[in-house]
Amino acid sequence: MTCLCRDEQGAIAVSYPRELEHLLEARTDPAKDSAWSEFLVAFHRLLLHTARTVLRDEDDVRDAYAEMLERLRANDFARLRNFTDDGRTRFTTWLVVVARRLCVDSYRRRYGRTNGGDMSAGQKARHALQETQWSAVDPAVLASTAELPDVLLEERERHEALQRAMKGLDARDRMLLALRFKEDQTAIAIARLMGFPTPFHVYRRLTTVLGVLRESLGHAGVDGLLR
Amino acid sequence: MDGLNHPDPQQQARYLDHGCTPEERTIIEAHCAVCAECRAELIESHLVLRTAPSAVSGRRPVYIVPLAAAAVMTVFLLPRGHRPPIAVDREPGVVTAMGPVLAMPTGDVSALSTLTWTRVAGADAYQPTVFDSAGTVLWTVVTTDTSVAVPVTLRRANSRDYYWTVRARTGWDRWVTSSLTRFRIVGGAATP
Repeated sequence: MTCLCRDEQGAIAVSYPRELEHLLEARTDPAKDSAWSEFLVAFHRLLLHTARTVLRDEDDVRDAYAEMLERLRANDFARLRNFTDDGRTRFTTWLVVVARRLCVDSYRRRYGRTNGGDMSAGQKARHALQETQWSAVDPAVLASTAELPDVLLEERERHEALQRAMKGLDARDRMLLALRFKEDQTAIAIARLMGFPTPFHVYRRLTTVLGVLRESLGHAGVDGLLR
Repeated sequence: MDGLNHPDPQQQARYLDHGCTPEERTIIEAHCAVCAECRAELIESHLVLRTAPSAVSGRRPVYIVPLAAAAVMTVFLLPRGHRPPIAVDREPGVVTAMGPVLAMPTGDVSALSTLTWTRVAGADAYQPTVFDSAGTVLWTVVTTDTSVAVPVTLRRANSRDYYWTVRARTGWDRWVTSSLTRFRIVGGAATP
């Protein structure tokens, strides 16, 4: 499906989904209503699925979905006009990202943005566990010796050494570690998200990166932090 | 893009579609490595896309029948050496299940009142769908039974080729689909 979108230099061919094309080209109110209906027929399942994935409660889903439609339609479909077909982005992918943001906005408007309030219980537990792991200090020992300055100092030094070692990694490796250990994503999910050919490539890269981190920490005199 | 400049939806979508340039990808990954919010956005959007029932609903491509035929022919005609390698990054633990077998109607029938197919072990829902020869969906429904009455409009549809298929839900977001089967109501004996 091709339409011509004119810019200052002249006409350039841009391809959009048929439904979006009709929507953006509609001039009269009846034409807009009709194009909007066509757009919804085509994409309502994707939008609803997005809301159901982001929000668990069915009432929240319904509210967010209604609000999402309202905001997509607002100001003569201003949000939808932001999509640019650069030949490297699918409209449905872009629509999911936008719809997800609208759902999160809707949720936050209703319940507010609390510290960690947007995280599921599982995410909170993982973050708590991760904090414990990275600190590499037994919480029981820490509780009984928290007053001792040398214990706190040692923990802080280890943490700083780890941060320095992490900064020496490539952005892609830092992202890989964050997805695996902070977000607890599976190798399959990471491979798909980051574009690794297979999960085995993820495992191999993780092994390599952790080896590099261990070596960096060893040079800094910190041992046993990463098992 | 530093810690305060989050990727816009276009950049996020491009990353999810693996359409970024290496430089752009590095910038986004450097940001997402430290920004939990953007990381969550990528993960959730990716999850939505991966589990989406269908990107575009309510519309079937008109070329579905020839495409299905071409796909079947390709399987049989393509030399073994040219077959693509089996993907190794599939989800683990997928149990192979045969799709339902369509019992009735098949081929030329004198009347149409119900669609009937075989049960699939472990399936808790079935979705029969009827298409016309252009691939347009004429009717679909979700049921727990292996037989369903068709609407009156379909019963009166005479002397044309129609196709139907049934998919069975065998687990959360897992479906197995039957083959596409043709039928035609001949003789004008429409069932009331």
